[in-house]
Amino acid sequence: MQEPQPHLKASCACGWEAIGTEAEVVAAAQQHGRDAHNMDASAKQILPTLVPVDKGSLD
Amino acid sequence: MHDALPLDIDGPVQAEIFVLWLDGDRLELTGPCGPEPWLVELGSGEHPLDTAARIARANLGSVRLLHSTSWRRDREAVILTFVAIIDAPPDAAMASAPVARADLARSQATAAPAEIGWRQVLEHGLRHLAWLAREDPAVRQELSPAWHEALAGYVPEPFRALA
Repeated sequence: MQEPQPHLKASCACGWEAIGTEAEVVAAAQQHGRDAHNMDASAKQILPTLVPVDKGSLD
Repeated sequence: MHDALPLDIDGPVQAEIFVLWLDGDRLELTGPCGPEPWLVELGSGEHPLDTAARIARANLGSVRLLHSTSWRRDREAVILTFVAIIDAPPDAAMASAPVARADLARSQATAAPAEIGWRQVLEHGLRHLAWLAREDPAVRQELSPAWHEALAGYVPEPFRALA
């Protein structure tokens, strides 16, 4: 059985947020950057901005 | 990692868009970032107005008017300010708030103001719009009587550097 992946939160200075796996939030942040800010953010730029989310805060 | 800074836009020239609409006779500020300045990156090969127009339409749908109103040095970049006017009330996902009046940030003879808040930038943007509403036939025609009325309380002022 595959280990559940930890949840991470991506956030933008404008207040936008997304929670999910690393792959999900990186993709969401890249799309938000492109759509809302004309920004081409790389995964390398986004990864240091991600914050772990406690499981309890998702309940 | 808990102290990580959020993702933020970068670059030597950035656009800041104030999205405005009229709720009856009340000016409201909205946008994808809520009732605050909406920041957009500008690539070195991009025309600022073209980029601002493209991204405004993509996020807001129809845009009645988009105009640059000032520039200033901030965020370690040159910030070009645009005012965007939309007809329809914003999407429910976009928070909106009434526009409050603010004192302008005044320059000295050869020096920029020490501090410029975004509400002062917006105040200047509305004064610039009030000037355009009188001086620019395209803008005058595009704005409804209700908009002309709403801008009547703003002292007309042309484009200028705020910093």
